[in-house]
Amino acid sequence: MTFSRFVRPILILGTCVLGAGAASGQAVADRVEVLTDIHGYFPCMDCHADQETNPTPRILEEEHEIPLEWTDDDGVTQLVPFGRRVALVDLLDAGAGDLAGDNMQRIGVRLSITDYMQENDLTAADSVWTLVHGGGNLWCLDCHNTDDRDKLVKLNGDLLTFNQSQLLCGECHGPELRDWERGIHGTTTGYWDLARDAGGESFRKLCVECHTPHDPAFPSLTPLAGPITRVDGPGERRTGDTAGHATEEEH
Amino acid sequence: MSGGSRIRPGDVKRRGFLKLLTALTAGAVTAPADAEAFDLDAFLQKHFHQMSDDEKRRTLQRLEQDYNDKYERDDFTVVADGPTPGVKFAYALNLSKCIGCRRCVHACVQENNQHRGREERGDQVEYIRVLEMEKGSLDLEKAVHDYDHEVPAEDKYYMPVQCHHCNAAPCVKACPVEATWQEPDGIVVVDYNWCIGCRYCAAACPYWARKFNWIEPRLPADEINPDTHYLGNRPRYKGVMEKCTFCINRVRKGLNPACHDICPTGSRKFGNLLDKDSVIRRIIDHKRIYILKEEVGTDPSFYYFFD
Repeated sequence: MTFSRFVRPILILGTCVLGAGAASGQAVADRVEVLTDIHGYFPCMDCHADQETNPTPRILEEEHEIPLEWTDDDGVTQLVPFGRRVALVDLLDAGAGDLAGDNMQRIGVRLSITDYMQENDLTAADSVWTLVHGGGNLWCLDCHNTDDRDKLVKLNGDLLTFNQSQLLCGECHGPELRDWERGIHGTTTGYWDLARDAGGESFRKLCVECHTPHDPAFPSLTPLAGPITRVDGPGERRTGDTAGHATEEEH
Repeated sequence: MSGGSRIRPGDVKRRGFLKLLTALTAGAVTAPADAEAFDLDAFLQKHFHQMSDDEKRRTLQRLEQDYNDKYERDDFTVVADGPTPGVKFAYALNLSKCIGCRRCVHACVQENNQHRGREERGDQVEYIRVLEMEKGSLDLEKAVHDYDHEVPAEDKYYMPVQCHHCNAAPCVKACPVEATWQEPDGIVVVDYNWCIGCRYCAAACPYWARKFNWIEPRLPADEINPDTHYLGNRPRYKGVMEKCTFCINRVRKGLNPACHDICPTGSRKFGNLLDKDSVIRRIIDHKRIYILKEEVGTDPSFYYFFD
């Protein structure tokens, strides 16, 4: 009894500390580190810092020229990390091709979106800018902070950095956030056994690494090659939507 | 199986006359056209469970040498990592999230050194079959497994099927020579050197999970995964059965299976069933679970779930 009285507050305190870790975007509960491709630079305030905000929801025209590049502290030109949707689909294909690498960790290979875009000459013009999310019930300032465009804003007014975006998603998608925190929803790679002395790390992607925030439905993909059937003879791959619907005669 | 006969004059004294006689008899009976193909040590190799630690070590060394010679490499490792006490593997797959992209299928082929082929009786060996199903139906007879269109298709859902690592595995019961068994951590494995290729296990499996090497497996040297396990992804032989082992070479080191890590939708979940904090236990505790062909009583370690 006495033991419980002392231990329980410690456990609760520990849980709060872990929760604070999650809020920082560096680590969440379950000893799982969150990796993110989101770089530390966001271009919004480059222009909006000196502009007056019109808070009235409206259909936005293409009012501003989107900066495609920025120069980092080392003087290196970087692409703005947009175009997530087009990059995601291509990344998956690139990832599948990379499986022929030469070590067992290759399955978990992760490429930077920006690296990929640079390699393939993709620009922000290839990205999805249409706000599909919410079906017309949302607009920019429901998620982006009015005064500081480099921050996101929760319904209660709390500000979040972009690598805490899962907490914003969870405002509407609570069950998904709950499952994500427990490892049930979302992509996790690495070790199942986190207690291993050597390694023992697991990596979990943020919501926006799989779901474009402005158009979050998971994109359709071209499947990799299917099995060979006997219907068309050995070595022949069937094509078209009719694959698999063999007639009695074919059998 | 390459490497040639290991019989040398000095060996006769050490290994005994009977061994030599057995080898000579076997050689005379089988009369191999290619004398290099016969390996006395492989021929006399014991069942995995009957080997001493020293015999296992020598077997693994011999296999590494054989594979390095055969595939002209120098980095093959064949290990026989045993199960960890207190671990019972289980797998869960989210039918609500899988989109049928088949990336798991191909990651599996590459991780597990499966045969690549496109010819009579020699199609590529794939442990995972992704079934395209009608929404609202669980009728496997209407499933399509060779679809070739953008996924997910409207009004379809996708059910990847692979070895369920049954706790009452009919394949294990069917094997007449005990070449396949369930390990203490739940993985159903095959000793490729003990399998006689009768294919009874394939006939017994209700999940179509066992794959047979009808021809000598073709494995391009530059596509080989050299990190192998004796009971898992080491190169196989013609005429033996093989199957999913949850990537035993990975999971016994604490890593997730290859199909798990490649899944772009996070549909695949893997973990220790005996750890109450594992993701697999959370899924079983909180999600709706579906067991494929539960009525046949195989008690699988593979669960489907919805959310």
